Amino acid sequence: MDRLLDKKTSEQVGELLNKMTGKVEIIVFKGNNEFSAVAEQLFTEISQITDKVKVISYDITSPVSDEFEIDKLLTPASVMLDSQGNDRGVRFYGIPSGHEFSTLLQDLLAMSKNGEVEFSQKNIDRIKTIDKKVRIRVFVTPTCPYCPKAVISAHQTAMANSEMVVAEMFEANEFGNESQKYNVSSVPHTIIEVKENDGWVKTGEFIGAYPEDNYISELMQAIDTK
Amino acid sequence: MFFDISGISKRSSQQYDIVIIGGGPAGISAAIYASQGGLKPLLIEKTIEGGQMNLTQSIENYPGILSIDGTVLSKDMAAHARAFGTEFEFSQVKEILLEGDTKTVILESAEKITAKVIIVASGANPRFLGAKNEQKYISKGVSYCASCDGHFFKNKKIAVVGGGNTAVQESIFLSKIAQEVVLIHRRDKLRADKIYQDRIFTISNIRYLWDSQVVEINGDTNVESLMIKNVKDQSVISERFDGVFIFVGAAPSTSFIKEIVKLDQEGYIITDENMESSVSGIYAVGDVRHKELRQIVTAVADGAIAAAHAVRKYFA
Repeated sequence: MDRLLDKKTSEQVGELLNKMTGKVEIIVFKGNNEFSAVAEQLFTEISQITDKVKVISYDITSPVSDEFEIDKLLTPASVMLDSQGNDRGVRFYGIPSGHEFSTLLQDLLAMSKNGEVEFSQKNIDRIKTIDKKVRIRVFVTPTCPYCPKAVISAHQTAMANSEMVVAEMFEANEFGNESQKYNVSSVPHTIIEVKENDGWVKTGEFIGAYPEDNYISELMQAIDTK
Repeated sequence: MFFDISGISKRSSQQYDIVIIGGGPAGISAAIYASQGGLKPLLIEKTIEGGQMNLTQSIENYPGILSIDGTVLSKDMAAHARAFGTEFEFSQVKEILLEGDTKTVILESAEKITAKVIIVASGANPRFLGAKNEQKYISKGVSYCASCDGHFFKNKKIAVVGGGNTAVQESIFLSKIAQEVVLIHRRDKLRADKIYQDRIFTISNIRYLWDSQVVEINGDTNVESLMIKNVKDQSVISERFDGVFIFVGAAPSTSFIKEIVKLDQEGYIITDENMESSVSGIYAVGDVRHKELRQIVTAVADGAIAAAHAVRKYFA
């Protein structure tokens, strides 16, 4: 496969990732598909730009995928571990290319600072009150300029309360079945699910990238309805 | 496959000479001229540098550039501003407070930034059509962004509502994805520039419903059909569609400033010939401003005029 990041982009990425403080690990779970190979290569190229990023890949059949509760049917799936080596609930399903590439870089910066959250303290405190297991799925397309904001908001929510929240970017083109299942036809489309017994139950959804306060309100409302 | 790296930079201070709200061509141009005038501008953008330019497949009326992808021009313009020292902050402005000559910008995170001069370049957002059930089916087949949502309609039948440049350009784009595009326009001819009209009329899978208005959107969970009214004879038909893209103009983004500056009847900010609003030290440029022609080329001109004037009037 040809290199994905050209020389100029690689240089700019290097400059940006110079600001990482600690090391971040990306774990890639691969399936038998082209997207998995591309995702692995993208992360690997980043790890060649900075030694602050380490990439480990597994086949999805590996028992390691169970530790992170990755669905065997959904590959490529990637998990980011923070500078302390902890899982903070940050997930990518599909390739974070296009505008989502900037989401990936922002997450790397935040996770290198032990999962630094940029929400206001008031909103962080609200997120910390979440006391049930929550899964946020954000459907995106790489050409959607509004999507990174929705994914960053979800990932930051997970970083703020990693015990309870897992937040996933879903590339809608790669995961057509999932998109249909959730009736996605506009992006960004955020789905909020709460764990009940052993299954996830959808308790809310919204379209678009919301300003911080509105985002937190929508989220908390969706969680509190159950 | 492309890799966008914007959207990550952070500001270095709480206090700036000049704060520009909006990172489209008007805001970026203002930033370049402010920097060249010796000031240190902060540009606050809520989604992506380049703004709505990013949604345009090809820009063909910017002098000196025959044709360029909107995302490429966006990146190039932002890089230009950065090269001259503009700082970018990715956030949304909630409110502006005035105390004497100092203006305080309050961000969505409640952080405050003060400035002597503010240039509002917040642009405009797509306007709703006002059809019955439109809100109900947003994201369920109703869309306002072809480059975001076009993929979902591969080999399907979609309607495009509108007759201006955006409606025509997006119909052309969507005709490459969808099986059939039906352009629904309330008049009997397009308002789009001739060059786009010449292009659209050569495409075989685009059909036209003239003198027609979408009055109602129906379906089970997703859009399944549209009620379309002929404005000439008032007859109404129902036709099956998998989706509808709406491009019927834009509404100015002024929620954070509409109580402070004078607006025209449609909500656009009124300025003088130097782009200064009714409040001294607050300028408005680009699509958010009351004017006739809203184009990239007029936006960058507005930005230059505002910044150059502010440099002379407030920082000389």
